[in-house]
Amino acid sequence: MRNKIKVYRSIQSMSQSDLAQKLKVSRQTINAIENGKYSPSLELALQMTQLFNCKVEDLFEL
Amino acid sequence: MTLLLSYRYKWFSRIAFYSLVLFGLVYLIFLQDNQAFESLFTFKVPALINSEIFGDLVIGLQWVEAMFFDEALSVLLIVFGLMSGFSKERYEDEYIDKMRNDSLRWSLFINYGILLLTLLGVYGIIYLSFMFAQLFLIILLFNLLFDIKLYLHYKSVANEE
Repeated sequence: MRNKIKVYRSIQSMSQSDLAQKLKVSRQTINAIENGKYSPSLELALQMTQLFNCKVEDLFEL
Repeated sequence: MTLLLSYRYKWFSRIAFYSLVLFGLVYLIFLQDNQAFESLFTFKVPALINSEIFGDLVIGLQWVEAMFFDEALSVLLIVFGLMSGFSKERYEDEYIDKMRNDSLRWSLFINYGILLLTLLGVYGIIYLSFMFAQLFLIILLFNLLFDIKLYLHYKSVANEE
């Protein structure tokens, strides 16, 4: 699953650590998601879309 | 992420577990069958079931004389192994939980793979030693795989952009 987290993060000038802190996960987990090593749970994916104010399909694609 | 112990048990149990694994190996190689060492740890212990070689099976609470050292070592290995593997990380999240589950799954597959090979290819008295070793192999493999995965996970910290 591909994602545009890095793009949305840079639009909002947010570091991986900032995002990790807001989502209550570790920075390494954000790094793993961005690099496609790990697909987040539905709950985490929805939290990201809320944070970036976008739709799930904008952030993730198969 | 349920059924996990607090983070404060993690480091203590991890150090204790790997120390006991090393000590267990030293015991197996150098101290097993050492009469002086065995007599130090031989005393009467309570038992629920006892069966001597060529003797009757005795069921019920009783006192038996046994070399208690290997039992104590086994109990500590299991307790600290479980505590180490199932304690939370400092920043426990769903990815770490996935790594824990993956490690447990792989250790189960490997352990039962070895068990199948043991059942089909090992005969004689050494068979019992293989079966006994596999009681601890699953928890050792689980902890080793999980700790390697955690090490690689924390190492990925250098990739921030």
